[in-house]
Amino acid sequence: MIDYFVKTAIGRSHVKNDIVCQDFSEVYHDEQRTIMAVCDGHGGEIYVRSDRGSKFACDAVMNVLKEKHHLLLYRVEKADFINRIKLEIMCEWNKLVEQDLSKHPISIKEVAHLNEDKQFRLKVNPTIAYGTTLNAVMVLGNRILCVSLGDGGLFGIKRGNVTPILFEDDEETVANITYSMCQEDAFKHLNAEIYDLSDFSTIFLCTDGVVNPYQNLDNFSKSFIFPVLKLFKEGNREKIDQFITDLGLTLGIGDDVSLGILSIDK
Amino acid sequence: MNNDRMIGEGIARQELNLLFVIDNSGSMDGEKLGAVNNAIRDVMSIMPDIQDDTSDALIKISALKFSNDAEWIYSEPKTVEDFKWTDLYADGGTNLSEAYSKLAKFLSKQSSGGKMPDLGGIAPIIILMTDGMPTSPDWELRLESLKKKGWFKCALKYALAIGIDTSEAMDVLTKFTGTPETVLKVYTAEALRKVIKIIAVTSSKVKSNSTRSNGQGGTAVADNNVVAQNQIAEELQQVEDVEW
Repeated sequence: MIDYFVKTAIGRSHVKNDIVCQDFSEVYHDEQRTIMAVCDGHGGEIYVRSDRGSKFACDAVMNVLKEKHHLLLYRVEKADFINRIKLEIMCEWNKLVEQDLSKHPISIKEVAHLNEDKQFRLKVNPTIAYGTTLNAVMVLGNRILCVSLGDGGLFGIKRGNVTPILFEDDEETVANITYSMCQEDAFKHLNAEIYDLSDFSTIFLCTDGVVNPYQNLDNFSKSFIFPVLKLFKEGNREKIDQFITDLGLTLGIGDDVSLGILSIDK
Repeated sequence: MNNDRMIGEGIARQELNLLFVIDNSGSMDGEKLGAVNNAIRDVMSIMPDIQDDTSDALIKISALKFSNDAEWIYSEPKTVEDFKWTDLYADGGTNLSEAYSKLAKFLSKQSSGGKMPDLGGIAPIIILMTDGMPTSPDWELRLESLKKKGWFKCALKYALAIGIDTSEAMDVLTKFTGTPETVLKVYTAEALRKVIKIIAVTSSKVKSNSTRSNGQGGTAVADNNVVAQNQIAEELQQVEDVEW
């Protein structure tokens, strides 16, 4: 049985500066599969449509993964399947961005606050305006597909241990600097992997607004994942919901926050 | 599974690290080091107000002195309240290599033995002050290692050339900051005192309000560094005996 929770809340710095929530999260569930995505549109001033970018990233995941038959997971070579999924998600996101741009070209008003250099960059490559991260999970048959690009991340839980999934942890990615769907080599940084259903009992999907206030994985596990998981198992979703709202508005670092919990009861 | 903690515990404010890297070799003796000591006292008298003005960031201060060796004044970064300045005294050579190694270690993630957070965080401010050429031959090699650290790359870096006039010595400092725009030649003790204060205070004000997410290539980090640099440049116009 699959159980899930998903929530996005605006951060106080966005409220204070009159900026829309740039995170987006989405869940799809039917008899065959559950798909969940949480995406974080970038906060830098050049990303003038990152709220749409994060929605399109969630939509791209849903559009691509809903179409996948579970037999594909067994019949196709794993590496080929993963590459195909990555490519399809990238193409779908770019298609949604292009459709949006053709319907609503970037206006002078939207870029009026940017300097000439940034305006020029957007003119040359308007996709930058939609910059976002992407973290997603699909449970299909007895497999779990995880997809990740950029910060925040996926955290698998099994027997009281928390494992970061597809984590690009190095001395380069610091200070909220993240890989993005809008960069030219995004495909290189879009990671995907297939796991057995038995590998994790629960997966947390988080944007960086959830993770960063905890500063390191050990603290994040002990102070966030385990207490939230306890509430989730007790069915106390209202308290989790309220906590995520508070994390965005008062307790956290001021950034938007998105949390997805996907629990697999075998 | 550890369920001892309650929801809402363990949340920390983002830390803004302000790092002073100070040459206290023999040639810094007298007015030069005296001005540095006074400047840091001045800065510390203002920092409580800056900390009070920002609720999002916790300012942490560290100081690294280097002469024959390099040594942190405190083993851990200190809050504005806890950082107490003790005057430095000049002696020995200019071992910039060791200073770069210690700085590289500091700028590693906590999981790798450094002082910087593994997750999130604010790009630090680093102010290097020296009056001469390094006496350690492998400083460039150590700088290369330092430059590989993501936290160094995104830091706002200033270098103060105290009474230095040779292009060779200026080149050493430009290699550290990555641009001549943030290398300042300072000719008098009074100017040095003012410059340190302007850089430390202005950059702390700007960067302590920069906790938002950044995106590809750290655009917002770069933007904040530019904002800080512009404000600093504006304030420096009023200081005599400074050149950049």
